[in-house]
Amino acid sequence: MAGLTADGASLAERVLELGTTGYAPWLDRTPHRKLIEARGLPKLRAEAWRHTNVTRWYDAVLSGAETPAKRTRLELPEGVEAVDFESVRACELVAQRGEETFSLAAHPLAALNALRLGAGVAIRIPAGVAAPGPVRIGDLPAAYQRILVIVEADARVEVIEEPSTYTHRLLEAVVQPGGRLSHRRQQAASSGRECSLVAVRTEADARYDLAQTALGADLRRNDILATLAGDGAAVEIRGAWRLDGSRHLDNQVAVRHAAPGGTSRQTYRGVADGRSRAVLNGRIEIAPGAQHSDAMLSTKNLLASDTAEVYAKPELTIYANDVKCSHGATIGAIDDDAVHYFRSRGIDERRARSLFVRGFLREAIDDVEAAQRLGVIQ
Amino acid sequence: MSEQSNELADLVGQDHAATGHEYAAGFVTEIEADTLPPGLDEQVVRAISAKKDEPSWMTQWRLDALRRWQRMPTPRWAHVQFPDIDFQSISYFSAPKGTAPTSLDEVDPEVLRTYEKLGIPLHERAALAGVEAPADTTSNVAVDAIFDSVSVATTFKERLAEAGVIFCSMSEAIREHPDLVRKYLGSVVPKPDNFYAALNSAVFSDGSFVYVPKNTRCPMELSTIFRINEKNTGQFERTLIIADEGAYVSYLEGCTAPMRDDNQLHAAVVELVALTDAEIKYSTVQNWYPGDDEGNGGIYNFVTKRGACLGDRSKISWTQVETGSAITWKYPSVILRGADSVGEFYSVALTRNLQQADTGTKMTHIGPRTKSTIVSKGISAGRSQNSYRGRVRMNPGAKGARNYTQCDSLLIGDSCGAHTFPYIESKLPTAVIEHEATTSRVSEEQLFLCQQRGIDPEKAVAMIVNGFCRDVFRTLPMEFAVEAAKLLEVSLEGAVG
Repeated sequence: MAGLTADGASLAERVLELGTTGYAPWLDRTPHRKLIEARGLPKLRAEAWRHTNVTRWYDAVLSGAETPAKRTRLELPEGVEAVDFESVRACELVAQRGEETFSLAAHPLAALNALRLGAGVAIRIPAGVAAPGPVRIGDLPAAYQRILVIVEADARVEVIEEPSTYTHRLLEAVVQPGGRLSHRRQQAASSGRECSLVAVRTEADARYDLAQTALGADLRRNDILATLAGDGAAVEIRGAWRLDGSRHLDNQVAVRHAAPGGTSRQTYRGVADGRSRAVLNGRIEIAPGAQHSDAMLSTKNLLASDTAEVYAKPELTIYANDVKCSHGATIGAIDDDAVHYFRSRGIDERRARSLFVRGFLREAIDDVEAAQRLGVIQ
Repeated sequence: MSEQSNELADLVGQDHAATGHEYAAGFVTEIEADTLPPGLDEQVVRAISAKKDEPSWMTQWRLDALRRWQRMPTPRWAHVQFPDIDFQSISYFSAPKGTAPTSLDEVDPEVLRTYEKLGIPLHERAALAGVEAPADTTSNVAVDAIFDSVSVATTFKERLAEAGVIFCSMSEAIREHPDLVRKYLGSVVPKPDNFYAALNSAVFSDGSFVYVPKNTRCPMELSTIFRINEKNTGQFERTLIIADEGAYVSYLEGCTAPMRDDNQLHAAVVELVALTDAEIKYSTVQNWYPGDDEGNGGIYNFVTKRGACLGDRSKISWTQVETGSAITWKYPSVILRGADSVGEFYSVALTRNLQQADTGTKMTHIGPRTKSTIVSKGISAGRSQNSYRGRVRMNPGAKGARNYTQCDSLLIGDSCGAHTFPYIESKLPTAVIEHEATTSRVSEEQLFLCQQRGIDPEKAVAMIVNGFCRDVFRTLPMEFAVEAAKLLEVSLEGAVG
């Protein structure tokens, strides 16, 4: 398969030599080890890693330069069940999740996550329960982390991923019929090298919203896969990022309409300053038979310096004819005329630019205060 | 419509009314051919070079390409599926037997009849119609015809020579204009550019060569007709067009092949060079045999086309109407090096039955204030797969550069696929890139509205598709545009219902 090393056995071997942790012994790691043995790991210049030097992440993996938090930071509202991934109950919840939310072959780093897993939490919102407050997930005490969220039928919850450090984090979520999951991710600036995978399955009439605000890291890669698996499912993803220095952010998003009548919206706004690099690959997939799907993606980018780089790849893969799909992408600079207009009203240039950026990013931000706290907007 | 355009009409969809949506150009010509045995190694490359009586630098150039090709892996990234090609089972050279023709009179009459059947009279217009060509000959088309591997005839040579335009086969150009060929061959598409370009560089048999001198507007449209005839042969032609400072040329390309159950490979390379203030307009109507309804046979059209806007204010415009081939895999591209240079790509790609297309363009902005426009219309019907893949890149020097991309897909039927893979890359803030893509289908309402007005469904679909493609058709030379629309109509027959 494209993107995996054929001859890069040495890297795979070295990773396998690290062995598996004893954490969550019920987790069968055979398929994960087999995948790495058979196909190696993604290598430099593989299509899916065009803009992220994955070998730099492996350096972090192999050097063990991970500085995980000492303890778990987790806040739970009433009525929500949460267990450590190590427990047998977590094993039951994984069984309740049903089939995998992503294909391991397409996300080989998740295999590494399983082998090296050191911390995790499984969360269940029982059927019909509307959680009275958000679930806040902060630090988890290991470099490789796993989070499972099961929103049972007609339940509602907000999950907030607050800044934390990790080498790889895998978050799986299943939103059962009629359920609703609002997911907020805040990724603070970091000098670490971090990869994550969010894989969500929304079933009939279920809804998943993701609002992600991010500053870059030395290397930050977010894979996001949302599958609309039942009739009338809905997914909305908003992403806002602001990068400076030599920060890096690579977002690889796929929204897959696997059932008819689904609606998806993706809105991304990004600003790249300094020598930073921002990447967005946003794919809309319409599976055969997913008629009456309605999918839209919009990504707009501002380049704020001569040395920053922006890469956008909005993709459409469509196998059904009665659908409405569109995407739009732009890359440009801060509008000098707009800045001039501000200045003519006595607002200095720095503030004018800052206001402009704020207005620009605002379209993809729902929680302005949180975004301000994070420093994505001022 | 001029007589010439009728000829082109016949080329692209000969006698549509009578033959329905059958592939009209699918006959085989029985001629004796001088064909090399299948296989590819240094001996074969030397044999091709020797047959063409090439100078040693050319032989070495080919061998270098072959060695590079041998080290290259087969590319598999495109959104197309086909069994591995056995490159050793292909014959890399086939020519109508006999010595190379020096004039039309020496061309095998069977070959001439083939082209006539296709609607392209090789004889110059006066000889064909028995009338003198009119004084104003802007509507004339000079034709270079490539039969299997070799160029069999080039028309209107003298008329072009008067204007100083060189239009000849690549073999002739290597002999007669070695300086130009050495300077520019491989300058836009280097030998190791990609797998199929390297293969072409090693074994290309012929192709067209055009040089338009300074401040010259080429007095007529130039055209190449490609025809694959022999079985188990690949066609590897190489086209090089150079527009010197202030020159203008418009070039048309048409392609056909017999109906065969085997797949045949067509791996051409087209290089365009536009110097300061020059303009090249390259239009393609590609109607290679697409295979039968079950996907048997058909041409694998794996072509590398690229233009370089080397000079300031130069312009290269690609227009393609792709209806044929089992698989189309190509990206006519422009490297915008000169300041204020302009690149354009207008494409209609129609796939039906089990056809696959992965086509688009690459616009690489290097010079300041360079501009590019991409308009791509993909139409998928039957069980076909149609992908747009494009890349727009703003390099650090492209201050004030601008790109606009629009790619629309139209789906007819629920078993086909339409895909979009645009790569948008910018490294400087003053460049502006805009991209949009939509997907639609021929809706029940539209069909109902047409039927209500007495337009049968088939015509209605053709009309809707035609409207969908209008932005592209209007960039084609007029007669070509009319015929492209007709070709689509023919190709769509049986696609509705």
